[in-house]
Amino acid sequence: MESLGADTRSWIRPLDDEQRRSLGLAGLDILDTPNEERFDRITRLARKVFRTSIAGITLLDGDRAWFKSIDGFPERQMLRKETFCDITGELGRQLVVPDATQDARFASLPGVTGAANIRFYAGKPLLDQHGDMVGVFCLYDNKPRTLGPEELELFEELASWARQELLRTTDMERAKDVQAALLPAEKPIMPGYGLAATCAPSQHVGGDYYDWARTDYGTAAGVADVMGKGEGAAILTATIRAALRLASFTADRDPSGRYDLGQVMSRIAAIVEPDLITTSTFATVFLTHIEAATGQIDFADAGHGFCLVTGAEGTVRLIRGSDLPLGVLPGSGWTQGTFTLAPGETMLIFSDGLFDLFGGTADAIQDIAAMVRSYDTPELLIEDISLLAREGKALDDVTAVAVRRAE
Amino acid sequence: MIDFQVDRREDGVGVIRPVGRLNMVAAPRLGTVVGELLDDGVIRLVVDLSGTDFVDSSGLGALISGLKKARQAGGDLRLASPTAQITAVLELTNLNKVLKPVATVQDAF
Repeated sequence: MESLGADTRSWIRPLDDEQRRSLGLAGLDILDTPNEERFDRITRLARKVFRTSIAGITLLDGDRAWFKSIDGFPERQMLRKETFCDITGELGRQLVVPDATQDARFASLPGVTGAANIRFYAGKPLLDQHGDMVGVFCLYDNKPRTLGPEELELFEELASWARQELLRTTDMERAKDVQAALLPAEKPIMPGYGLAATCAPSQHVGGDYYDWARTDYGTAAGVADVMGKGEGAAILTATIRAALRLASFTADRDPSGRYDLGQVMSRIAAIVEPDLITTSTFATVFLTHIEAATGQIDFADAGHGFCLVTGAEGTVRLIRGSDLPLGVLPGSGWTQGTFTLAPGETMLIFSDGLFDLFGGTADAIQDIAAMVRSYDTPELLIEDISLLAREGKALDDVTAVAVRRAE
Repeated sequence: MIDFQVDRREDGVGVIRPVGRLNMVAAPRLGTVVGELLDDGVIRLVVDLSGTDFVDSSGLGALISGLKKARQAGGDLRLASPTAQITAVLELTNLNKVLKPVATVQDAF
């Protein structure tokens, strides 16, 4: 940043350490939040392995020191200037005090002179994602002592664990909330049909999603699965969602309002394929449109392949096209197919996360079909698919959309 | 854990044998192995899947990406001896249209 001269870039005002710390804490959104086991287990463990009277995760907020987690001490906050951690903060590096009564910087602190009777202290700064110190991982004991080389190593390990948890809070939780909010909030209501859907990421966020909406003459529903999982896949999934909505809204419609899903898929491809190719990723997409009056379902299949229709008599149809996923061979072309959902039949579009939970071979399709047949309503089916994803420890994201046409 | 056994055959064909699970963790390493072979001028590649227990979508992505790079270099990448799981995934995604599997490594080129 030194190269930015103050004369030419005067709108960039450098912040002092305290401002950076304060913004860092604000960005973490953690101050005054309730106890969390993921932090408490670190302080509990630290207190146990070092056999100290107190272990804590202290955040330095203005004139107070606030404890995100503290084991062995009843208060949640103290005056910052009366804490050891404030001095660790000023020093900006790890600090070990074998006997506070012998150190002028600490001898007069209330924690040393008062009932807490602190003698030993060890503190390791906790940095935010920009490297600014926001808090301190700390140990206290009422007997003088020190930390041997191996203990110091362990202390540093625990501090870096605490830091990881601090950083995880914001990014992950927020990403999870945002992705959940991108799923459709409302279920389309289509008389004569029952609809239900789930999207269960295997990590905080995932590469799967589904979308649906009422149209002039029925309901459009689609599932997409971006290769991989986690944050990288999630970013591309949001791109595909936007492309799908844009392509659907702007599709060429005939006088009755009908549009071609092959064209929609080709337009999605035109929008997202450059991004998929740059990131060496591909995505499978399955789009449908269900015509309410007739049960006619138009579909386009970009290498998704997981759509089955089950009937009451034990029939199973696998609905699939012959087109490639998006991002494999650019502009390879997508076409629309058509089938009919008869009264009493259920259509399930799902992602390979469910396929893998059922063993991931050709037999899996029959097993999933058997599961679909054993439920009377799509809601109960989808509820159990979500449960299965959770209980079965799915390694990949699990998404499913079920549509049942009433008898 | 996955292991990549690489055999540079005398006829100029490179055989890569992933042993274990070809998943999100292993996929980038397959990309590296393919890249190294192509850099050395070995452009006809066979991925022998007989020892590969499982391929997830990231693994498929690495195979497609390897195929594209091999073709850009004027060669090709083919799959040999896929397991039932891999065959099913290739068929369901229609990727068997571009990544045509053959029964044995010898059949590949």
